[in-house]
Amino acid sequence: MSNLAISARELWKQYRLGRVESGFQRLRRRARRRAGHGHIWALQDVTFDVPEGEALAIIGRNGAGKSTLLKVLARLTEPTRGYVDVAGRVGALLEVGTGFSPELTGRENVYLNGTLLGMSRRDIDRRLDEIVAFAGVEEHLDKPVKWYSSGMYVRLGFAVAAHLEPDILIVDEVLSVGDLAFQQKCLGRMNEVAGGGRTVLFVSHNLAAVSALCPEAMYLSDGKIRSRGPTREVIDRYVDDVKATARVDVRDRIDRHGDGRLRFTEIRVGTGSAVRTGGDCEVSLFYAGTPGAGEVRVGFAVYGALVEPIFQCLNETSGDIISEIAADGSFTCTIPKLPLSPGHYTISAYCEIDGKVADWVQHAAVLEVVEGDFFGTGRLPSEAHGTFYVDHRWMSEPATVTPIQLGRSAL
Amino acid sequence: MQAVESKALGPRAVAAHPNGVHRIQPSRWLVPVDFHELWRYRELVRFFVLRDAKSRYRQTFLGPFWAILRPLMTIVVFSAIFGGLAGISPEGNIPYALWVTPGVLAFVYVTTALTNTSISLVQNSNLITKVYFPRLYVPVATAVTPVIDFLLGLLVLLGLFLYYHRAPSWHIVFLPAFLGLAALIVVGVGLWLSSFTARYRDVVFGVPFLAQIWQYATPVIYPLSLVPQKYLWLLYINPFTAVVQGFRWSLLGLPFGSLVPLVASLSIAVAITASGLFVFRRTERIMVDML
Repeated sequence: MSNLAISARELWKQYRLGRVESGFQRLRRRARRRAGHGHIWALQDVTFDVPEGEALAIIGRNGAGKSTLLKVLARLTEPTRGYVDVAGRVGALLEVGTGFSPELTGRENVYLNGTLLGMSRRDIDRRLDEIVAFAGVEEHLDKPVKWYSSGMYVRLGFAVAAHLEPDILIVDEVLSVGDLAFQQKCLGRMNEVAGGGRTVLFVSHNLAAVSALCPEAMYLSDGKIRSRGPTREVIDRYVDDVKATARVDVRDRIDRHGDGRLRFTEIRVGTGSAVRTGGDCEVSLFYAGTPGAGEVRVGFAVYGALVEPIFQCLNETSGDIISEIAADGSFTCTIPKLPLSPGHYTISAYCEIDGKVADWVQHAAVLEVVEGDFFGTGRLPSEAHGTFYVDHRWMSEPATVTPIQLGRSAL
Repeated sequence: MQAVESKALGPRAVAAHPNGVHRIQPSRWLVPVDFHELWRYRELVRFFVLRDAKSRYRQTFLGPFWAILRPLMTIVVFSAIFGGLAGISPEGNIPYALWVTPGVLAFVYVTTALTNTSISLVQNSNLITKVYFPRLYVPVATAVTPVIDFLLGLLVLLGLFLYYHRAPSWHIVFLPAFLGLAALIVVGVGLWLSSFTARYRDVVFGVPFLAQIWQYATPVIYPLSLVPQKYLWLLYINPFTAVVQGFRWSLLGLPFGSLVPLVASLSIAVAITASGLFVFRRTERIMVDML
């Protein structure tokens, strides 16, 4: 029997709702014999084990308790009841470049950040060259990071984290940073870590990345464990739940970019029934805000099994000009004859007003596609043969004679 | 580690691990200081000090000259008002400006360190909420950083020695000990204040005021000899009295006088720091939910 790396028993975590009262307010409230603000249980009776060397994904909607669980495991906050035993050192990446100071040089920041993450000076000395090469900032190592581009900054931050050697690595959604090539590099590095016999806990909204990295998953909802097992099954369960509501509230997402002149509030996929391959697909992005007049670029990208999107829909490229929008409302995009093969995809929503990003929420909603009669022939290609269905025709031609049309065909 | 039995998951347990097994659970009333962990993270102090020192004078015109200017202006004002107008004459036939300097240098340090330490947790909240490390190093490093300013401030004293054609006493070798005592008191008070600030930000408004009052309650601008006998005990229980007396003794070679303040100061410093540690460790566990 393999050893356990993490063993959580009946974890409960309570948070108080609302603002922190001042001492004066509390005295007055008590004098009037009123009850305080309510409490919520962010974790409820969470019990699970993680064997050593397992890569476990934690999925669930916002507010499901994922972040709270990570915070408890990272020792940032204490559980209210229950306990967790962890074997060895825990390295938690809840943010890239934690503690980076603009006035310090790249080298100094590597040491500061590395020390914060629990590396010893000797570890850092030994790995400095690797870290710097991974980030690609060799020439700028002795310049203050305030002169770095944001890309360099993020790369250096991730590079330090990627070269941590904790016994248990906890990663929260840090992959949504940097450019594509760098994201690939990060995924690769995490795969190495997971493959190297270390225990990895990975929290992400990107279901594709989750299934690529972690063979096992745990699905949290309302602070409770809903499902725990092979990633495929757990994701199916999660997607079923998401589909049941057919809309995703994104108001509480804080990991978003943009100046907030407009904020996506809800994303609806389909018109109640499931989205079918070959059927029409409608994606509605609901928003709130005070955007005013201005050229609007709105769109979404669809992600599959890779880190890069498999396609995107932008009003700019479809030629649907939107130059003024109401304070609250929605954008709806219709894709006729959806060419995606059955499976689950995630959608990132994006909006730009007058050339400036207003809101950008990555992996905001799940797009679940079920099989449908794309070709109108009643035949379906096998699932293993690609992401897209493409209309096509076949002909057969003898060497010299006129071609004979064969008619429609499924691959 | 004992095997953990659970109804749902059977009798598997986290086995021993070369890097140790840690249990995360609600903490008890008394949270002991984890010295092993402090040792492991010791490098942090250096980087925190480096970081704070580098960003301290960012976007200032005079930069580190402030470290000289601040005590210098204070000495000029004190000498004019208390040495000149009020005619306070210090012991040992020493010019007032030179006599007042060690105390001013000590209190410039105390004021800066105390103010910064009390808000250090709030200022580092982006770190504290994102990564686990011994939080104790935040107030400690913040209390240490202004020592750099203090060392620069010694240049003022050097200038005054040259101006008055005097030399420091050999007692100067004991200066670090008294600076250490000042730092210990500041850390102790800082632990209390920073724990409190995590919850209520009132402290931010109160601390500069507190530091100012404390300076007047310490024989910085007036010598102990001017204090009526029956109030002397009030100054003796002020832990900074021994610090200022010690500074004058080590820098100017003035007699230390009664040893009562020193004993009192040491005991109070230890008591404040120990109780501060207790309060801080208790706050530490709920800090993240507060900040």
